[in-house]
Amino acid sequence: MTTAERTARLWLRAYPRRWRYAYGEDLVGTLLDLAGPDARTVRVRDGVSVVRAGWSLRWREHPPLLPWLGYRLFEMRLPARYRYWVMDDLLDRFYTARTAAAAFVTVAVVFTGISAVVPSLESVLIPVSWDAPMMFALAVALLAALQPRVGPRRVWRRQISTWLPRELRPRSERWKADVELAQYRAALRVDGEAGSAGGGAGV
Amino acid sequence: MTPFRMTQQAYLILLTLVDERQHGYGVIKQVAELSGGDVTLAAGTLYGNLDRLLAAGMVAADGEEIVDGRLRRYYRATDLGAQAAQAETENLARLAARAQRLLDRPRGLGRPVLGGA
Repeated sequence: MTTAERTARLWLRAYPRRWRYAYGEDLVGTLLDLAGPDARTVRVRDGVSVVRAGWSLRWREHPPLLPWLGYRLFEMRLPARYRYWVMDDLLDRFYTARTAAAAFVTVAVVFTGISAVVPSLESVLIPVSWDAPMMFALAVALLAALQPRVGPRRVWRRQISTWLPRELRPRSERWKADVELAQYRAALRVDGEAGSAGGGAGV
Repeated sequence: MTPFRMTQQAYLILLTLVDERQHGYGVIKQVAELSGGDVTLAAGTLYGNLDRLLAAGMVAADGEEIVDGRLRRYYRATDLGAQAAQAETENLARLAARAQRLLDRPRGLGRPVLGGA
């Protein structure tokens, strides 16, 4: 990978993983074409525009606030059209850390709101020192380091499918996921050959 | 679903893709040519508009090729996209005609004359 290609791929991280897999190569090629031969980096103008486009796409694909809170805090189902968004969310390593952070932030916002409306509760709800918020921040950091898969595994089974992809399996069992996926793909090919019009594009 | 918002950039991109199938870099070059050098799209701007056009069914992916060891995806306008480009062109033509009639009207005394380009 040339330096220019490396910088191009770095800019592309503004896009969600799924988009990168589907369309990323093309955009990398275009960025490198625009940079010109013997360029060491992608033009900054292009890089910034890619970041902007990537975050616009993330914004467009994101579920609206209330359904999102229901999903993030209480594992409520989102409408079917967000299915791929949910899959990407569960496969992310920092799912548990993000969920914990969202819970803490929501509690903080709710407590602040309540103590603004009912001032007498302020001494109960709002901590005086920074100890409690620091502990929560440490808990989130710990979850970000440990990256436990228990939570996403449960939500995946309930909302997506009983078949777990390799990222959500215990490390010692990941090979099973690869085998099962290969068998599934082989079965699709056999069906495609046996049937009239072949099946759709590969998984 | 909200109706498609035809921006100037989307319009130019659509025009280049009605003409012939193109890949990303080709579209950028052609848009610059079509706009007489006024509109040079950045890569992200192009792909942002392509995403919207694809979602609206006005543009479709049209094959992939490996060029210089890199994957290149080609795009083309669909029939819907061609119709939209035609409608927008007619809109602009009507606007230009109305604008010209406005400019051709005898101007009142004391009103500043519009400067020449």
